[in-house]
Amino acid sequence: MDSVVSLRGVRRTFGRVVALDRVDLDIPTGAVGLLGPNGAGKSTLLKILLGLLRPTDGDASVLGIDPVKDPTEARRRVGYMPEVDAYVTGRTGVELVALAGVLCGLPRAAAMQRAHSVLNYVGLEEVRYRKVEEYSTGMRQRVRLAQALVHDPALLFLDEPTNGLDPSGRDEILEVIRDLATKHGKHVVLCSHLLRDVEYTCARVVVLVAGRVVRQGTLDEVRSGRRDLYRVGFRGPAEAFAAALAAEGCSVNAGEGALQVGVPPGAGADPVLRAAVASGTDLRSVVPDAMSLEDAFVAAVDGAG
Amino acid sequence: MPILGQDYEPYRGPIRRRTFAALPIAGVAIRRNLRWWTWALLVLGLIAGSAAAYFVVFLVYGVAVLFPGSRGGANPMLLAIVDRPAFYLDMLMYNQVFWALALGTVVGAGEIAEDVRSGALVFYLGRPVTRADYVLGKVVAVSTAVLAVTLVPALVLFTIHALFVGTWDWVGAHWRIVPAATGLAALECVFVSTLVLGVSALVKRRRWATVAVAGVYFSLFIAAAIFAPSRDWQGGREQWKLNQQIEEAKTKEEADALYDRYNDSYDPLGSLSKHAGLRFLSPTASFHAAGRDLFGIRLPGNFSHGRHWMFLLGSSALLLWVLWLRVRAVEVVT
Repeated sequence: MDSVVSLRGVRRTFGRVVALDRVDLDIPTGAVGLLGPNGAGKSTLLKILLGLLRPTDGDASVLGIDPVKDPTEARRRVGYMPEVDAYVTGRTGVELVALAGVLCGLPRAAAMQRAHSVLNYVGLEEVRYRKVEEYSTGMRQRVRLAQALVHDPALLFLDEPTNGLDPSGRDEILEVIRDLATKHGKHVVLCSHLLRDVEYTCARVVVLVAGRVVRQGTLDEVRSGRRDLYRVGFRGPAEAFAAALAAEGCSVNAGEGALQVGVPPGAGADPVLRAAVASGTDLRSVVPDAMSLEDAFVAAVDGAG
Repeated sequence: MPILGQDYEPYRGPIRRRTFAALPIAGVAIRRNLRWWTWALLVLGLIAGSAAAYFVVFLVYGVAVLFPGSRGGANPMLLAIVDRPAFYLDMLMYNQVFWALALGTVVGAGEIAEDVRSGALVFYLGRPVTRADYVLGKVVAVSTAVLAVTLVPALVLFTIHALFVGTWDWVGAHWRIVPAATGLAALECVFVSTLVLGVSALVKRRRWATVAVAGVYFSLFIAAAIFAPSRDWQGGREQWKLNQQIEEAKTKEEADALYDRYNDSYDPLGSLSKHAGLRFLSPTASFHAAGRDLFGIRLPGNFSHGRHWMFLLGSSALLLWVLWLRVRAVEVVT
């Protein structure tokens, strides 16, 4: 599989704080979610890929370009939507996006034409002549996306694109991102701590915790990453059954009419059966359980901790 | 589906591989200052204020030509003042350093502070723009304002002066004024822009940057005034006597020598002070000394040679370094 981003042993420290710890990663084509809790190193990773930060150690490449050696070329090829507000005061939406186009190398007239086109696409055509500082949070998010798209890059780095949006605003932005990835062949690296955003837009996920990649793969692979998880239906006293499961070394999460039981790796369903016998519980069902992305994420974070 | 049904259209036009990003950045900064009409009025008012001094000189020169001295010809006192390189240096110094700093502060003090606050720094540096492009763009914006009140009026005055005299001989004898004025204006651009932008990079609001720039400038000025008072005032009688002697001088050389004495009595470099060596602390005095070097006018013997250049270029280099450290798209928190 072709990769758009490649990292080999990338490490970045800020004083004593290790933001990225020898990351080896290949981000394939298509839409990929970069998941992680706050402080996991997601934004640091993006800034290294954009050449805004130098790695303390290791090598990185973006679309075959080394962002340390040629940071401007890397940024020319990539569309970057930053996490924070990024606008020039006193400029209207269309002027701002056109300026982004000019800075990316578009001729002035073409940049203005293109600015109108992408602002239409992100749904800002009605307000494009208003100053950006007068925009609502949702409009500012969209204008940031428009800036990232103005030079029609093959690869988009979107850092927390739905931050601060209401549910409908979030759905609209996610819809645009999915449209770009699925219909228009854009490669997207979506950096987020919101699992639903990643689940909705991305085919693959990379989970970053404390500066390390702890899990990666397709959504299905990540969800089913733990094959030692069972959903157990039963009849009888739950407390006694849970205690017996714990004695077998299993983890237990209570669900509605069922328990989600994590068994020791490689043990299969045997510990569940032994616990049922020991506690005198009638089993109704023992089904391998696919995790939600949230479960997988929590498991990954817990595992990393 | 896109939000309102407008589909995404790929861009098929040309993309330049190499762009000079400093120019659009400078253009944005200049336009931003002219966009709010109150601000535009302030900028234009400062430019007009600086031009007023040149207009007065123009009138003085007209008087010198129209009202001849006692022995016929143009008034020698007035011609002795204006028809020499020192006059241009004085114009660039006494009148223009204040305007250059005031206008530079109005135009540049908020530039980086505003960009950090609004995230424009991330906007710029997230594109194919280097930190050098960004800083250069801001320096160009401030320098444009500084040149508007230093080099431009000096060159206009030189042109009018040449037209008044009406001979190529005069132009041939005084052509060095043009590169000297250009050099001094360039030095003012470097110092003012690095001071204003360096301070702007350290604070978060335009108004604080303005106050800080004024504070730095006047602190240095006052320190120099305390440690190295610029002059002991000469009696008005002596100046009046020199004035008379200039009018009665028989040769140009004699008039020039008398004018040098006359000028020394007002010398901002403290040639009559015991502590002239510390005058370099005042930016105005350092500019004056550098200007004398550029215009080929002697420095007072007790003024420390070289310190003024070290002060102007050293402080500019230091402020550039501050800018380099502060201009980042990354907020590093450890």
